[in-house]
Amino acid sequence: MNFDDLYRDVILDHHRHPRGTDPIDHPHASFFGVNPTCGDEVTVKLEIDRDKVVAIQVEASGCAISTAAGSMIAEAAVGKSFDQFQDLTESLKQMLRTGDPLDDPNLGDLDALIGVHQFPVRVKCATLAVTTALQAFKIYMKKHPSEARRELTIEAG
Amino acid sequence: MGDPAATSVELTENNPVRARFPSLNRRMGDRPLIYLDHAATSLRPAEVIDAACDFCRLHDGNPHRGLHTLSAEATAVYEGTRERVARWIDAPPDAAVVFTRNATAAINLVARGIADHIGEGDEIVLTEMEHHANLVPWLMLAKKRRAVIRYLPVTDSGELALDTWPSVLSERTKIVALTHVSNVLGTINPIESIAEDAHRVGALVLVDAAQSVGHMPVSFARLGADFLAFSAHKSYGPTGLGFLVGRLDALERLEPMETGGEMIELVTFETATWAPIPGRFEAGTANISAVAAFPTAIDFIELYSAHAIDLHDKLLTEYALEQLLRIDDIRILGPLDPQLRGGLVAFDDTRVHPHDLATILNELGIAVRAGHHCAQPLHRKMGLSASTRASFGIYSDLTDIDALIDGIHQARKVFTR
Ligand SMILES: Cc1ncc(COP(=O)(O)O)c(C=O)c1O
Repeated sequence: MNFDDLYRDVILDHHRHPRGTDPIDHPHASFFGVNPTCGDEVTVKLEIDRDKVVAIQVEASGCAISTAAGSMIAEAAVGKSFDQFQDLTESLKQMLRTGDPLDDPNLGDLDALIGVHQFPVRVKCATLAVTTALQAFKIYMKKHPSEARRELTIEAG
Repeated sequence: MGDPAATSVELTENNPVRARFPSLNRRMGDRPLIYLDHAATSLRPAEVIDAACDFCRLHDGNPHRGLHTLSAEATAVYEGTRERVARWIDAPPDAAVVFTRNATAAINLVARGIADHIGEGDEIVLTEMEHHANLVPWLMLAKKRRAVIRYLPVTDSGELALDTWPSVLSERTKIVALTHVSNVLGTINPIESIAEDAHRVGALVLVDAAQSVGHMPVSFARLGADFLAFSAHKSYGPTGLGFLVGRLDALERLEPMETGGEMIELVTFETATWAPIPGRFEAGTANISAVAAFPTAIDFIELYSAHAIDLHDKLLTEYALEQLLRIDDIRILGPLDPQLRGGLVAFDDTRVHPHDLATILNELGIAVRAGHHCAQPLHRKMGLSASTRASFGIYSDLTDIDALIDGIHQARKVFTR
């Protein structure tokens, strides 16, 4: 059995040297996510400007897959709008569901998680950070509806 | 198989029992299945599976519900199991066996049914090593009745801190609920002396025997508890069946929480009265084929003897501890003396997270449990969110542990490349 397909070098690298660990002292939104069946935990803090992520802090404790996914999300999230972040979440989930490689530049290193597709019980490990980050983003959007709308009107104009 | 010591050695070294477990014939890819998750559910021998099917093929009626032959036969089978379990678990005449869905349901039956006897400020004593099944129902009760939960702490070596016991127990204690064997630490708790002390202050004692029954001789009478809860599926029996063994005077205090058919004495349009114990706690149609099959699981255990299984567990645990402790950066959860433990070993490998380890082991055909094993508070207290657990049944032997150790080394290779 070859485990290298699941635990690719990129994944191990993110696991050993996680990105997005610089503390954000005054986040615009944060959310705590937990995987109740296994106890993996992650806290995501976001700094958002004009509906785009400018900084993200991911504090993950758990297995290599979940910590690596958290680190990859931290890289991929920066610069994304809410819609782009939602798309990214969907892309990741779809890749994990179907096992089809995605040609989505938004994903960054997240495409290395494709091997998780073969391990359905581990899919939740790979999605914990992204769904938690999305929740944080949703909280921000709820709190700042006007800003989101302003962005939309600017784009429309 | 007369001598338990000889039997246990035979089981441990050259296990002849495996052939009786159909699921052990499964192959995991190109490898044999190595099942080290007995504590989650034991595998079932062919005769137990057959017994459930035979009931459906032959008797197949609903007990206590009708005058026809099938129902009468089903009644005899159903009540026959009750008597057999009572004898097996050594329940005295002033005790009864109630059929439930599982150990969890048995504990809930007590924790919910006793509510009227619990008042504001009354105390419920638990230990820090409880499974969620013996923790959450009491949290609910305490919240509902404004009662207070007090915990008997666990020491760093994974035993109950009995030096604090006199200060935890008091005249306000109404219930002491604790596990016989911890499903994480493996620790065997001194139930007899705890029950004696608890009774001295007038408290009721519930013992969660989910991890002891089927592993060692368990005598309800000798333990001295008021309630004993366990599941058939952890003792080579079918799923969907558990037991609450209780003293009649203690069971009398419980209000039935599930009401409906078969648990009544007399129903009018306005009122209902309850059937005698144990029927009043068995509303609705039971898992009859599981009830019918369980005596075969008892036969299976008695064929080898619970004493021999206990010795077998201890030999395997001793070997597992020895082998695991040879590996750097592995922390054993629970006592290091196998004599103090049941047949399971949970550990923390500080180099590979439990989920990653369990995934890699699974690819090698080895089934272990990884996670908090339904004991989150205990894990948190130990500074962990998860651990890896190997647990043993009668079908386990030394080669399984060798495979586990080898698997741990392989997992480390993946993570250090
Ligand atoms: C100590 C302990 N108590 C209770 C239970 C609950 O058993 P069940 O899920 O069969 O109700 C378990 C099972 O995991 C256990 O290990």
